[in-house]
Amino acid sequence: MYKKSILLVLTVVLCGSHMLCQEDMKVSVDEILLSDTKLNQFSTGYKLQMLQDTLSETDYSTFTDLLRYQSMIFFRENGYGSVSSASFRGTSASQTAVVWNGININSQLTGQTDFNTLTSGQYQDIIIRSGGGSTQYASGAIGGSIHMNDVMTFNTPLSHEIGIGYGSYDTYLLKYQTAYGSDKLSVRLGVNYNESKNDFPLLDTDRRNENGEYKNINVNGSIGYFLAKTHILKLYHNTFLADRNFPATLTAPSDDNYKDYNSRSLVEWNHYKNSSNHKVRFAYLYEQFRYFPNKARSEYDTGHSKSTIAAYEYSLTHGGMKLKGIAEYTGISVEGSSILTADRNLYTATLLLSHQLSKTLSYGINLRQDIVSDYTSPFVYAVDAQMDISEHYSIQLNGSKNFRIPTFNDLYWSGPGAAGNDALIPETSLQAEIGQSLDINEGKLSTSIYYITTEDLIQWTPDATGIWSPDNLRRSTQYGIETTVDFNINLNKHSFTSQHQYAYTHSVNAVTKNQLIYTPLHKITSNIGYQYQEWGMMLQNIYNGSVYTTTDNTQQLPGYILSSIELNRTFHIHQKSRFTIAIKINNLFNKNYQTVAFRPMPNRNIRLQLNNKF
Amino acid sequence: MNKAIQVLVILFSITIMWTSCSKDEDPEEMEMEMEIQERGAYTDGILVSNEGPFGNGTGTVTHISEDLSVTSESIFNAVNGQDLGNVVQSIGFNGTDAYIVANVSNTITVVDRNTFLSKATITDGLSNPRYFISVNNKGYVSNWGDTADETDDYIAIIDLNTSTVSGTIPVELGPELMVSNDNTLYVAQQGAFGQNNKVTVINTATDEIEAVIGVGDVPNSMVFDADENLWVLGGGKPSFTGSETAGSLSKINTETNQLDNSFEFDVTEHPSQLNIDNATLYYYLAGSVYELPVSGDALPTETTIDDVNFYEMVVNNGLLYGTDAKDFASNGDLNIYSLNTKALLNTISVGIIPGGIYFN
Repeated sequence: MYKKSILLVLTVVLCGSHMLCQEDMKVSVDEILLSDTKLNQFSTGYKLQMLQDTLSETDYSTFTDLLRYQSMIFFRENGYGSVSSASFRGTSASQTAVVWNGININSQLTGQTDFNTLTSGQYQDIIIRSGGGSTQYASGAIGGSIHMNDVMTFNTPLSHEIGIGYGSYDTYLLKYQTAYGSDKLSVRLGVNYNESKNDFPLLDTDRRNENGEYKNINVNGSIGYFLAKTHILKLYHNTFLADRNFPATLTAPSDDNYKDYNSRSLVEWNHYKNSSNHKVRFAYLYEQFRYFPNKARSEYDTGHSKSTIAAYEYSLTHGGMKLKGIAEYTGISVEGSSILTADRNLYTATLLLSHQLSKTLSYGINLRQDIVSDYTSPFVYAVDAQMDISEHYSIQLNGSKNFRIPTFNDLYWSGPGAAGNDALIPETSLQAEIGQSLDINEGKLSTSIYYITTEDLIQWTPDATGIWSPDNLRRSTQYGIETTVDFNINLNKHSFTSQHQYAYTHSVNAVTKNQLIYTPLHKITSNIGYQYQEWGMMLQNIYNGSVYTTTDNTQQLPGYILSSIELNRTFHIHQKSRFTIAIKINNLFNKNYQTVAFRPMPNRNIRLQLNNKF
Repeated sequence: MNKAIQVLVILFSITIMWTSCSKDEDPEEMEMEMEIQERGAYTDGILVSNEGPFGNGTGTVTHISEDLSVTSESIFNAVNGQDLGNVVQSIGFNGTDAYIVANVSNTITVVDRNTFLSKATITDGLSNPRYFISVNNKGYVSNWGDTADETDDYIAIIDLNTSTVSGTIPVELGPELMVSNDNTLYVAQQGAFGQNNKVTVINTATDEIEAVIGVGDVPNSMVFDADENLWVLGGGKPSFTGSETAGSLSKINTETNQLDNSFEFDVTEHPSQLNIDNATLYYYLAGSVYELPVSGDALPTETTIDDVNFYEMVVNNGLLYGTDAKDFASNGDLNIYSLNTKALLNTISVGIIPGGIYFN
């Protein structure tokens, strides 16, 4: 809704200078509001799922829980609240990219993102993009990518949001967000604090979860300022700090502790012209971890990486064609106690084309080449197309070549019993996907079928003296089907919304044909929301099929059904203020389930959530 | 109704006849049956201890029958319905008792080696336990202590009657494998996550350290020969330390605790798995097995068996047993070779990361 009013404002502002009063407004408003416009303009043939529409505003789940219930991605947690890795379309944890305001933020050390170091509550825009995206989002975007974007709003009065949550096992949540927009300035600031003792009872035993305490704090901020009518300066920042204990397993005790510190900053300057757009971006990313093998002692293992990014983007619009060229430089330096000190310089050239051939047919071509100082990077490309067969039915196609670079750990690790291999080459992957979607008033039905083949997968194995070292050893093949049904009914003052998804994922080692470990064959999610006047209810269910825990498929973890329910009531105090109170019960049926072998997850627990927007 | 009663009566009589018939068993047969029950399902044959996945899993023990025809997986779980603990590093024995060491869980489970029924569990007083040996009616367990502290390593003394830790003997960094001769205990100070180069000699009558003998870097295996000399194989410091050293084979005279002889390998050679059978020493190096007679004067230049990938190797009665852990995330194999013909005789599937081979 706010987008329309901004458009109006802009037209007034820009028309006033007689510069852009053309009949067709070629500069997209999204360019101004969003940090990553590639998703809107250059991903037509890809399946995009917007999460914000289905979120409850009092939902204070961890990001892992949010994605577990709302997406087809499979998550495994090494204990609730501890390290969480994703498997998107059966690919490995380092083949899912997490993108923050257009920048890939997977760890330079491990190549993955620990989803429990991300807080979703501060982002206005969360999108899951299925399929390969290396041309736009670099390494790791093979199974898919998850995008977290800050959205700037202009001409909005000062608003605040305060949220408090209290749940079982001494779980506390605090959330504060404030936003303000004038016609020239947009400011947003938010803080999230989470803490939990996490000592839930282990079902079917007389023990409790040990050493599982965690706490984290997340700060987000963004400022947008119109330097002139066609120049805008944007700043984004995110800081995350976590202090977590590594939980014990059913057979192994633990007194380990892990501290994370991540900081990301982005400065962007946009210059809008008639049918073109210049963008200059600078970003600085810092990640650091400290691992304490014994939390009572002072010895720790540490590592950090610093990334500096400078990019220039030029976009051109002509007729139905949009062209974007990006030249980017990234400098990364890494240091740590079990890793050699190393530097990397990347030079990237990207060309993106999106062409609307007719009202019903559009296609895109993406090309990208990196030149890197410490490995040879492949030339990657992507092609996509969308055909609108009718007003309600459309078909999407895409095919791409993607890659996952050898991480700093893979190349330069130097610790007891393990050593990196600096002769590694990137993992490369080819994929193709065809999707269709049927969109009618009450609902939407969409299906995608995909096929992925990846080579030179990096795998760590021990040599004859027992020293572990990585090599480009494996090949894997994935194919599967994803189906989504959205269904909404509105009757008088009652409204039902529902979303159901099913994913079938066949993911095997190309040589042994065994299903890869921790990739379930089936996953189903079912989310139902009901709203009646001031009352709301949300019921969420997932079914996770069984997963193999050994590469020869001789052992497996059973599948499970997990449900949660939330009941909420909103009070309108006066015109501006809205107060919501919610009760949420997680693991409604008290199921004893594990996402990682020998690590039981929490039993039925309850949470009270209060939220005030004013 | 009548017909039903008739049927019931017939069934009843058949049952009575059946039970009375079985009482007419041969008394000798019955005695043998009872004997077999006492001897247990896992008498004779081979026991393989499997570490299991680190952290998220349990170690197991596999039993292979004497004629190699029957393999039983996870026998402790099958008999007791419980898990052994995380990373089953090794098994030690005292008579008919087996002591199963779970390194990460810090426990030792005591079982009857033939029935595998659990008898007791030692849960206190252990910290990163590695190996168990019984000497002089006591048990001794090598412990690394906290891996961040290089000064807290010790040998735990086990009271075998109560299955508890009755005392500790502080030792240098990284006590690992142990062997004994009469009442003297020899501990290889391999170095845990670092590297060390000693053998600690303990008098088990007093539980005091008699001597600390300097040997080559990273002593990983030891055997006695027929003349009671102690042979110690050192792996040498690996290359990732930045100060790589050569492997070594040392011969110690146990009367004087002095080095009698020592053989030096190349700087890049890191041998392990020292064994002795029929006055011949065997060891594993870079994918091959080598042999050296006890009376030999130089390291062998030719290999005995090639193209093997052994996580653990044991030589017993003219046969060589080697485990292959494969990708460390799936079931491994036990391979049996004839030392006569050097041919591979059998391959038997065992558990995840098979690290110990023992004979019942």
